[in-house]
Amino acid sequence: MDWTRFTTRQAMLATVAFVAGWQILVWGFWFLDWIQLAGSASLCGWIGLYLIGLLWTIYGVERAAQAIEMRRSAACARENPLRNTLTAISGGAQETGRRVWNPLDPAAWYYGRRGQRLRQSLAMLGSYTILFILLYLLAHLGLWGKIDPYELPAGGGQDIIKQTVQVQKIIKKKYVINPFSSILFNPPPIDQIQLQLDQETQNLYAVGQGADNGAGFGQGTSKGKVRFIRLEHPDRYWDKNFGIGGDRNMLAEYHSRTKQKVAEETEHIPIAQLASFPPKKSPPLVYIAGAHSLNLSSSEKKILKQYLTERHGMILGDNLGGHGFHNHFFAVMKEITGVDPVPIPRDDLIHRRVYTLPLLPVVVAHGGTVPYGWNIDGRWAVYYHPGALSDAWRDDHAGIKKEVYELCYQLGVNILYYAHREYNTWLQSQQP
Amino acid sequence: MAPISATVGSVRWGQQGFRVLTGLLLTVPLLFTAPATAGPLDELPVARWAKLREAERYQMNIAEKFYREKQYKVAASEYEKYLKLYPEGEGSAYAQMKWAHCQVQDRQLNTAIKDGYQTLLDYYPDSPEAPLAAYLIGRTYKSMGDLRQAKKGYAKAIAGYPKHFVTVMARYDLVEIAAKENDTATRTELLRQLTYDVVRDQQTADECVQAARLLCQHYMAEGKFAEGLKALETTCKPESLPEHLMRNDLGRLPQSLQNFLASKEQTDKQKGEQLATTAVSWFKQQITATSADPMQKPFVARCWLAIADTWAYAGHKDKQKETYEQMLTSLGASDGILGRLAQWYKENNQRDQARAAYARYQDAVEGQNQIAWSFVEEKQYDKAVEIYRKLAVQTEKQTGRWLGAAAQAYRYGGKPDQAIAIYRELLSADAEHAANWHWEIAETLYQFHRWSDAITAYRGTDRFPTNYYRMAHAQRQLKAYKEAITLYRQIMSGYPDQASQALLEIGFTHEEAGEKEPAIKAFKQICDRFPKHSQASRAHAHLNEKYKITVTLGGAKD
Repeated sequence: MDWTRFTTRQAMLATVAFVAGWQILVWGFWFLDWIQLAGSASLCGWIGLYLIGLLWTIYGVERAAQAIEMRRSAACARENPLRNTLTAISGGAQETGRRVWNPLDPAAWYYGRRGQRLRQSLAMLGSYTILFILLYLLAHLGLWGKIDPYELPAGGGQDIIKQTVQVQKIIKKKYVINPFSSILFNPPPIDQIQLQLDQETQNLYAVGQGADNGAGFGQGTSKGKVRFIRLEHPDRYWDKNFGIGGDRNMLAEYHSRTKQKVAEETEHIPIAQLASFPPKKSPPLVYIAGAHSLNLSSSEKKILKQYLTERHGMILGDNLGGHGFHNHFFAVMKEITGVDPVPIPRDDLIHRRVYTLPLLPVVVAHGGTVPYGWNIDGRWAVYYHPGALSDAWRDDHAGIKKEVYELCYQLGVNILYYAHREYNTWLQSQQP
Repeated sequence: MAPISATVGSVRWGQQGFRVLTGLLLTVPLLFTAPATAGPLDELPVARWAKLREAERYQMNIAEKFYREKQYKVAASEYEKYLKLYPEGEGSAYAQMKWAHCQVQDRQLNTAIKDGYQTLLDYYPDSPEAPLAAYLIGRTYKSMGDLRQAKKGYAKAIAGYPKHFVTVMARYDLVEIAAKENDTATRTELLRQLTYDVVRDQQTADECVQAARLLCQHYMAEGKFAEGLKALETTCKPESLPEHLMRNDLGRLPQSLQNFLASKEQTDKQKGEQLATTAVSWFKQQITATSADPMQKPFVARCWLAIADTWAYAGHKDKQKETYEQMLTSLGASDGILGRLAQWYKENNQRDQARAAYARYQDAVEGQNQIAWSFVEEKQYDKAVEIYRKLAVQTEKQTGRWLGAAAQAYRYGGKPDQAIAIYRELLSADAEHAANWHWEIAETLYQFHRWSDAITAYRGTDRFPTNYYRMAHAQRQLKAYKEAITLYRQIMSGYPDQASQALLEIGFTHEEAGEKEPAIKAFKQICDRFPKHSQASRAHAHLNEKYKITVTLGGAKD
């Protein structure tokens, strides 16, 4: 048996075996947590698939062209044998005498009068490559629906709070005096105004503060905007306070307070979709809410781990129920991050920028009154709020005092800002 | 009455000796009232207290008082006042450190590091508190989860004050960090240094001993008995070694054996086997070396027991029993050994042999007690009661104990009337503990759902507010909701710390009564009045889930 020649059937089987083997290899590496190897295997597989596809294309086009030529050649040989022989010697296409549109036919009018086969080959190569690229993009971006890469809004990027100087006019009291009075009185000039400069130390975010113009971050783009993305998981309450009248309010408040561009709506995605964001364009912050549990599969945990450690992401956990979610969240985050949770200090940056929050606001203390954090390489990779933070963001604010829900908004602004700021710093550090 | 310090200060004695004496006198009550947590990191030595001037000492005492009372914000402002008034005083560095401690307690950790400990290092670099501040910078970063900064802080403390005891503490903390980072090599090296290289004194002994124990645990987990033993020998007297080896919080030999036994790897199982054999041979060596001395008999017995336990943890039940039998032969019968042997029989489902062993107890009463309990375990309650009754007759002074056990056996057996009859008997037989027997009667009635009788019985008891909760619950079972709510309201007014729980129960009682509106009102009240309590969490979740009410009220800052 000649091993250098394949039958069509054997070639088809080999192609199917290649695709199956490639996928098994990629998922095997993924399962073993060898992410780098999985990525390399995936890339090698795509290259292999392109080459195999190209061979099939050449084979298919050549067979079709030969069949057409054969038919035409037989007809031509009957009518004009000499011309047929000359055309065969020159390697050109048989002239048909009519306008041919079929791209598989080398005699198609758009291939010209000379070198039709070369032009047909180039056209087929170009078309095949374009189609393959489209297929690749579809597989990577369209697997979970449309993925918008996350881009930061462009702008300043520094968090130094500007101190505003307020000019306060103090007008001295004027006295109406009887000039004929026996009492000596030295009234001040009527229009004397004493100016007093009063420094206001409120921590107000100044729009466009920082090096560049406009509100936003140095690594941002003009298309970039702050988005609020919630992760789906099996707990019944994962989507509590989602959308208009819920966390959408927080996004709107973030915009009104920071003047940074924000998305029109808040979003929710499955955890697996986090892996589909392009590197360096993944969300700086994702939100996980729950009341009873946080049951994640091992692959979801791997994706979250990769998101936190390799993509520099951050998770905001919000307890909307009680000890069940509290315990699950702590166990899962410990497993994912590999570090122990610690109480976040009151004077930590996350509690001081954009607003200074000396105390933690809670709606109800489902998991105590202390916020916990998981610190990775000196930054908070996970922030856990123990008391239904997003309940306070709703239209009804859960009926709590204005003072407390205002603090809840401020905390939300701080966390969103912290995550984006850290992500921006990381992007800067990644630049060559 | 004027404060002592003021009175003393008003007399201008001006002599150093008197000042020292006064300082000591004022310090003595302070030392006695110091919190249990006080240690070298938050105490001013007596000698330095004596050097404080009257006014300084007065201010310092005020600050210390608030610190001891855990009013950290007030204490911080008092320490700050001291620093403003006496920036060059003897206690300035100490006040600065305590101010930083107050910030730590108030969860202002960054402020504590930058404005507290670092300021101390900058302004008082030669003070006795400076090494502590250097160490505490590292420790504070560690408690913030910033291990990178923590390691830097510890390294600075070790480099800056190599002979100070904080170096030992810093190394000990670095051991913990290395464990978190899975850096076994660094961890083992640090543990070795702390175990063998550091000179142990009063201030360093604790860390060194702990490190030696951790090193022992590390070696035991690797199956290296000799190295583990060598480390553990540095922590205790030779006669305590067998117990220390067999305790999981110290030598951790049992857990290591269990881990090896549970492993699926054959090499691990072999390691475990080797570890058990080595340990047993070491215990036997100790027995051989000391058995000639009659004074060492208790030590020998402990070694034998350690051998038996080692075989048990290594999965050799037969060898465990053999060891007990060898003990009986060489040491003679004792209740301790017989008890162990009987326990072995029980675990191996040979209950008659177990009872036979109990019957050989020198303390016959305890032996009978164990036999009775073995009947209870086998659900042969009448036999157990019979023995308890005999014991009650035999030991008149312990009638209450044995009859109480008999009643309890009846309760286990689902015979409340017989149990109550015994408790009634006890009311007169053991009148001294009548209140307890009243309570047990009520509990028996409650346990067997005789709600009306239980309510009547609880009325005669004095364990507040548990009896009120029980009565209210019984009323709810009888559908007497108003009475139940009245009882809960009594708890609320009498026991303010129980108010949130009682209010929650009121909510659930209204719910059971089909009164939806008052129930919702009660749940909302909990959220509003006690937002930081766990009951508010339950009420909030209940309102959300059952009534789909999102406006729950509440809100707090902490």
